[in-house]
Amino acid sequence: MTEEEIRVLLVDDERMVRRSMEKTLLRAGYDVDTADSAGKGLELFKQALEEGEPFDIALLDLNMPNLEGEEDSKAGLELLGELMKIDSSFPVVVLTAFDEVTLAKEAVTLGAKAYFVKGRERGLLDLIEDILED
Amino acid sequence: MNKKPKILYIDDTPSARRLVQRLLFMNYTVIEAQDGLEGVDKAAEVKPDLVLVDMRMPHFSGYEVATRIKELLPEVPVIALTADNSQHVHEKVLASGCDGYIPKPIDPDKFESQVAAFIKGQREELKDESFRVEYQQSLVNRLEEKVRELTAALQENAKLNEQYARLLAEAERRARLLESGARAGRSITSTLDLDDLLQTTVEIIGEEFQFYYVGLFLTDESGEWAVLRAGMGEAGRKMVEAGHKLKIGGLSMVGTAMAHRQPLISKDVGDEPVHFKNPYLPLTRSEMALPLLLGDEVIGALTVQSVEEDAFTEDDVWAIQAMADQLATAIQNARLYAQNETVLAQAKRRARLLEAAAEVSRNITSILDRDTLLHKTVDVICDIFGFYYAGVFLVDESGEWAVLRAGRGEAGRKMVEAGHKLKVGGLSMIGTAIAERRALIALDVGEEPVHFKNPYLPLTRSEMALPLAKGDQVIGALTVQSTEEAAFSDDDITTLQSMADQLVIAFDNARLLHDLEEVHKELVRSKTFEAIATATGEAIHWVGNKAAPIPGSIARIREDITKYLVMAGMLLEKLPPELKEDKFAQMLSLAMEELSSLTDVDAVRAELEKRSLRRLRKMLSVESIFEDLDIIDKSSLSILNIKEDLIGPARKRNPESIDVAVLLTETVKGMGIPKEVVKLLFEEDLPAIVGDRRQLERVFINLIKNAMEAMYQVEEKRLFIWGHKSNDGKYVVVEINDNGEGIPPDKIDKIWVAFYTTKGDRGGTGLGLAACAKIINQMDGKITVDSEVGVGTTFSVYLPIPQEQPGS
Repeated sequence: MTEEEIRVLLVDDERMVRRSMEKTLLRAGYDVDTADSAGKGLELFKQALEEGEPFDIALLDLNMPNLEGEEDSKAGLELLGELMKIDSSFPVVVLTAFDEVTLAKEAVTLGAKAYFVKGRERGLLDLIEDILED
Repeated sequence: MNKKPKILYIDDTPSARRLVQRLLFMNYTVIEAQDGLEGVDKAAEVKPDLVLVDMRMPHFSGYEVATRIKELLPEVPVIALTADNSQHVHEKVLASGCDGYIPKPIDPDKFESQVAAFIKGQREELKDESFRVEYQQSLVNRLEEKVRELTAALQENAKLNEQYARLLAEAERRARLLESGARAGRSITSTLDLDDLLQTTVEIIGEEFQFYYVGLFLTDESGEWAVLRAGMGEAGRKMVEAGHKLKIGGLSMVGTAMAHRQPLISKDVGDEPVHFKNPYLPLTRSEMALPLLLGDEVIGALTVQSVEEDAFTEDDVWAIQAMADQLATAIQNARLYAQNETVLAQAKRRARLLEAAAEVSRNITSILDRDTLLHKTVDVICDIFGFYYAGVFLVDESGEWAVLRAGRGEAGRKMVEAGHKLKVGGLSMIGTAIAERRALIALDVGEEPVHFKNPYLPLTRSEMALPLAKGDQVIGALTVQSTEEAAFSDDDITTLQSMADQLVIAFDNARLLHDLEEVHKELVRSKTFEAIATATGEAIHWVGNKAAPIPGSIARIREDITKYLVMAGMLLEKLPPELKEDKFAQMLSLAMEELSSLTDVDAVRAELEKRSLRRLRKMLSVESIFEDLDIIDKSSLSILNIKEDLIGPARKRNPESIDVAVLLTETVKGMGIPKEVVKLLFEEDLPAIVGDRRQLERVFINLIKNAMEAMYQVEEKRLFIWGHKSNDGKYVVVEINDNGEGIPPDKIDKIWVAFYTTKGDRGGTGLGLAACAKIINQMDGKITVDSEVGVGTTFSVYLPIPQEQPGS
């Protein structure tokens, strides 16, 4: 599996956090699409499916606008649920601030492959690599 | 002029007459008659040239008509028309005197020629005379029959006449009695006072029947005496005044009649032993006493007296007793009516009041806003009860005054505006009602000393003041006023007071809610401070989020610098020897040495060697380095802002005199807000306030920033900053108004909570408003917000004007 082929969906509403992670991923050779809300994330995901270029992995923030566009601390879980409905084996990593770990663990029980505490982006690349190698 | 021949056609069937008319009118004048009598009369009158007669007619048959016309006009031909086709009908027709015969139904084709033939002289003659004899015999029989019928009818008539006369007489008498009764009845129903009623009754009876005297006795409570309650004329009045009474079962006619429940007639009063010789009625020559019976009960008696001897017949007894019975019932009805009327009216009124009170309660108990409640209350009370005016007074804080808080209509509005108030314990009804804690009624306001003469309510004729009491405490009073005199009774107090009590409960609910809201607001605010003071998890979350991209950016910058340096080092090795002494080459050489001690340069070198130029360009750029630096810059600035918000309010303050106008003008300029967007307006000679300049500036920056962010999507942004003194002169007020998206009502309370705000690309740190509130509170000022979605938001900052400040 070559690096160029791997498509990553990154959903986070915090602009600088999103951009920073995007850069890290791009430099590691991933093909990255970003969205700033659960709703837009789901839209991108479905669109990619229809166009025959599905994402290989999704990184989802937890606290962001939900599918209705309302600020929601569990918006990431909502989006995760939607993705699981479409493909229950699709790899999702939940992004979390260090104080949301309980919620992130809940995400794992709902089908996420892992959670990642934002801030150490090098570690994120290793995590993605591990998940995709499985 | 050629005259048309005249034909008289006698037939009781209209359609037959129309047919003949249509068939003959061209050449004949047809005169119609619809029965035999009319036919005979018209024949005599018009002397027709020909008579056509239908044989089958009621009462006076065609045969008889023909006979009669032949007798009157022997020359005129009479032709029979008949549908009878029995044997010898032709002969019978001719025997009656007819000159011819046309069978029915008429044949339209032949009819005119048949008629023409008779006109021209065609005649038929009876051959057999026996038919004429038979006909004459039948006529005699019919005559006898008629005579019998007439005689019977005459007898019946006589009988009917007699009956009629009797009925008429009876009816007339009845009518007269009924009329008397009706008059009495009318008086009875319209006169609530029984004495008035009885007096009217005796006058009417006397007048109606032309009696010398009529008197009415009623049984007293003991049942022993018949007391004269009404008497006709002067004599009657005097006797009633004298308390004239007769023992029931005594010797008097009235007493006897009542005891025996029988009418009594004395034909010659002088001879009658039971008669009470009455000096007031010297002319009485005959008398009748009639008991007033109501079922088994004797409620009284009627005495009727005449100046004529033997004035009363047995018939009169019957007639007048019937009226007496009526009268008894009427009196009883009147008594019951009077009783019922009162009870019923009271009950109805009570029910209506209770219902209205309940309705008022229903309408107001759900209103929780106090002002709305007060205004709605007076409206509802007036609407439902139909009162002229209602007003609610509440006792002020001093407890000395009852202040009008809501009043009905324009008068109420004006009085509330004018600050209408009444002294508690003063002369006004309201003042008295509150001081004495009891409801007051002034039935004729003009004469009531406690009433406050109110020029706004000129039509008030009665008033009720009801205290609004909660436990021992009187919180105010309710006034209800009516344009009717005596609109309120003591009974109403209970009902209306229960409504007033409901009102108090409603007020209390509203007050409770109001207090609750205040407490809630206070709680929300204190939570804000708590959040700031303890740096809750949310604050940490915020800082964490802001800091999150920093390590990534730093790592990339380090990597990128390393790579650029390694590339420079590799290039250095390829330099010709003469250039190695160049000062820049020497700098790079030194840098490489430093780098080698910090990182694995060979590994980096190996990675770079591997990559194509295209790939290298993709992963490495100065632009990327600057972007990462920018990320670090912004993130750290956010964190610094959070820090400032967290500790800003707590920082040591340097109070100084501040000219708010100058401070705001400079702040706006410093923020670089476009001139066309912002408009500043300051009241002249705005007093200086005292506070920490940096902190106050921070508050304004925060509020202005919020305003600008709220107008993010507005095309024509309009920021209006207005500095002025508050109405009470205690504060300098700075209003910061935007035409942005506005804050939804359900979120307006939350804006004061730390970290509640938009995040992401725009929006403050989330601590802004909480910090602002804290700072202003510390200055003994306050911040309020007023917002409407889609219209805009106004933050008002109240800064206290120092008391000792000269020139303020």
